[in-house]
Order: sequence, then structure tokens, then C-alpha cells
Amino acid sequence: MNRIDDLLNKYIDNEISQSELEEMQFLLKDESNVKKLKALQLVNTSLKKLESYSAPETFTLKAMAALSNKFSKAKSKTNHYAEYLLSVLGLIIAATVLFILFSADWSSTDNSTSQQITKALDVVKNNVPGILSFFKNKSVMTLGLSLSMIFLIIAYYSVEAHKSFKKRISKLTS
Amino acid sequence: MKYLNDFEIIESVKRGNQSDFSLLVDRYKDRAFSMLRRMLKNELDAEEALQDCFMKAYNGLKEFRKDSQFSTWFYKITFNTALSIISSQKRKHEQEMTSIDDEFDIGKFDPEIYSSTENPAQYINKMVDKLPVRNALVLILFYLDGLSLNYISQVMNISLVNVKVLLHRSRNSLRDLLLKHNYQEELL
Repeated sequence: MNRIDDLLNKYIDNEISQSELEEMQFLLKDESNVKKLKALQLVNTSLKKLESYSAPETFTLKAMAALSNKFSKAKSKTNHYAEYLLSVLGLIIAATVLFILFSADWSSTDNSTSQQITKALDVVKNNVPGILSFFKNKSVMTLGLSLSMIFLIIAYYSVEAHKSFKKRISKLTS
Repeated sequence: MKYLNDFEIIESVKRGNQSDFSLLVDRYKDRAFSMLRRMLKNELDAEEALQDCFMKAYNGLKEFRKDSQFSTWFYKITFNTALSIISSQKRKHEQEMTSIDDEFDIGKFDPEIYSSTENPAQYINKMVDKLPVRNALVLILFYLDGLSLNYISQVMNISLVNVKVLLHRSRNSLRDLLLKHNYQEELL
């Protein structure tokens, strides 16, 4: 950009100093520079009338509807997760109860509630050592530890992947 | 009804009043749409991008810090969204995303625009759309949105000097076109 262009732009933006103004006045003795000034003033006034575009009238409604859709999806995702956990827990409880029901000896004539509870507890007492000894088995322990290790590694990489994804998203929005 | 400033609205949204976000949408949709419309040169793309911008803004409200204005932050989101759309569309990517130092020539659009406009204001209005994205954006933010050059440098993440370079070059290129058609004589 040459000197007159620089000075004219400063003049248009009211950023010109006194010495620069004098320099500009001197350069305006050249008719071509006067034309440049007039044209730049015309650009400036035309740009002040620059046409703006309005967003569609229904935009706010659409945007808010899209946002609430997103919330409801997010909520329903959370609910599914809770439901999933509750169902797994329920299944474990149901399996334990069924196991007790089928393993206990219910043939005795004394069917009082306290007697039934004692029988159920007996089933638990009789089977717990068996279950514990199963888990004390070396191969089962090795398998369990290996699976836990694999699970922890997968969990670690999943968390890291999620973190980097979040970073990328925040980079896009910043 | 009490006027809420941007920060008050954001606090309200953070407290769980999601519907208050519509106040921010109403407040900024037209200015952001104008910017996107000029950058993307297409109304449908601009509307879709605008929705995306408000989604990003909503999702980022938790990270929004009060040390900057919401408008600056939102304009940044809008600007970056438009840039990523342009690059993904590969719309003359190399030409559109020119660096500040690159020269550009909009003279090739002149015959078509000149023949379809009746006065300098209309002519300039259409020619702005033909400028490279960054140049057009500086003009829009400066003239249409009335933002200061400092503010524009924050939005576009470039130095104040570079904003001035973009502004001066854009005006000079438009000025040269007006000179070519002797439009400056209409001032007399």
C-alpha cells in the first residue's frame, strides 16, 4: 500500500495525526489522489449502508426445539443407563432367591416363617464356602485378574478417548 | 418486563431455566445470520450453521468465563463454525482462506455486478460478497455490527495491525472499482 492510500484510510477512520494531515493535503494537490479520496469516501458511505440479513422469523422456535430435543435425548440416555443397572441388579437378586428356593429342603412339616428363614440362611451358609473355594482356585484367580487388567486398560483408553474428543469439541467452539 | 443483560441470562440458564436461552438467540440471531450469510454465501447453509452455533454456545456455557463478553465469544464461535464449513465444503478453499498478506482480485466479478446494479451503494453491497472471506468479514463486523477494530481482532484471533491491513485493503480494492466506473463523480 502506498503512502497516500495509507493516509486516506487513516483520514476516513479519524486516526490521522496533524503532521499526517498536512502531508495528505500536500499529496492531494495531485488530481488523481483527490479522485481516490472521493472514491474512498463513497466506499465508506456505501459500506455504512451495507445490507444486513435477518434470520428467518421462526428461527428462535426452531433453535429452541432442537435444543430441547437434545435435552430429552440426553435424559433418556441417562434413564436407560439407570434402568440397565437396575435390571442387572434385579436379575442377580432374582437368581440368588431362585437358587435358595431350589436348593433348600422344604419337605419338613414345620412351615413357620422363622423356620423358612433359617432354612434359607442354611443354604447360603452351606454354599458360601463352595463359592469362596471356587474363587480361591489359582486358575480362576489368574483368569479374574487378567480380565480385570484388560477391563482397566479398556476403561483407561475409553476415558482418554473421551477426553480428547471433548478437547476437540471445545477447540471447535472456542 | 425487566431487561436482562447477557450475564444475567447466562446465570439463569445455568440455574436450569433453559428457556431463557431463547433471549440470547433472539438478541444475536440476526447479526450472526448476517455474518454467516455473507461468509457462506448461501441462506440455507447460513441458517443451518446458525443453529449449530447456538448449540455450541449452549453446550459451552459452562466453560464461558465472565472475563470476556458473550458477544465476542459468540462471534468467535460463529466465525470458526463458518470457517470449518467452508473448509469442509472445499469451496475454493485455497482462494477463500487466503492469508492476510495474499493479494486478491475481485475485478473478474465486476462486469456481472456492474451491469446488475443501479448505484454505488448497491454495487458495493454486492461486491463485498465477492471479497475473500476474511476481508468481507472485517467490513461486516466494522460497518454492519459497528465493532471496534480491537474487538474484531479478538473475534478473528488476529493482531490489530492485521485487522487494519484487511480493512484498508478491502476498502482500497472497492475504491479502485468505483474509480474504474467513475462513480466518485456522483459525489459532486
